[in-house]
Amino acid sequence: MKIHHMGQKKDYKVVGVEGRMDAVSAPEFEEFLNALIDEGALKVIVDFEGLDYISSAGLRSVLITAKKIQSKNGSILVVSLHDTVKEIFEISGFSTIIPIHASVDAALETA
Amino acid sequence: MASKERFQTMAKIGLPAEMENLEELLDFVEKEADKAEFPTRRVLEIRLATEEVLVNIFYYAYPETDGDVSISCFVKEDFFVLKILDGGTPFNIMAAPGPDVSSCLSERCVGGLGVHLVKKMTTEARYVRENGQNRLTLVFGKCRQK
Repeated sequence: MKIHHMGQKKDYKVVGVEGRMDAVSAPEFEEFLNALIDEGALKVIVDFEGLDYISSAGLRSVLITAKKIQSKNGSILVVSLHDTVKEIFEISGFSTIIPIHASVDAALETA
Repeated sequence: MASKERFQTMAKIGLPAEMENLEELLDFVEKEADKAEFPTRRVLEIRLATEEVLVNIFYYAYPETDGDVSISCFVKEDFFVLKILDGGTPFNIMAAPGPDVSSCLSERCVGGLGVHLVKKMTTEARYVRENGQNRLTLVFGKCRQK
């Protein structure tokens, strides 16, 4: 898994994730987002365009991060999910608790 | 249960049940499912179910002890079959409680998702405790049943 900053879009910090988010790599995602939140970022867009795979450990990290941002009255949006990843979000019931958008621009339009 | 001759043995891997071996175990399963000519999407679902099972074995079958886990892959008719064995504490992942997938974010507890995904991804899953081992059989059809 690779994770990197993609810059600022309006009020949102955009973070890109590539590869596989599994039990080995998920803690890295959590640490990266935690550092961002600690720096004061409360509006975050996670771009999953390069993400091929997510397991429950990855979902758990997304959930923990979302809860942390929500507790500070911030918001987290996920965008550009592959069909396979989107299906895992849906099966897990995550698509109803974390807003999913087709792209960064689509997210900004509705945000 | 079909007779043994109807199984086409493909491959087997055995490694210490440690997180550092997760990728190697999963890459092995993915390669075998690829060889069995399962669709790419299904191969990822097989990888996912296997990850969930292995992580549970790492945490619950061997909470404080070291031990091995082995995975055998078979192809039987149109099915890809995995037999996952460990010698740890009796632990039946299929009997573990799942999450409430309808609760909202603030109420959502962090856990139970793995077993939910295993159930969703497999066509059939069977657990037995035999000869001091946890023996889990996962059966995958070519497509996920929705």
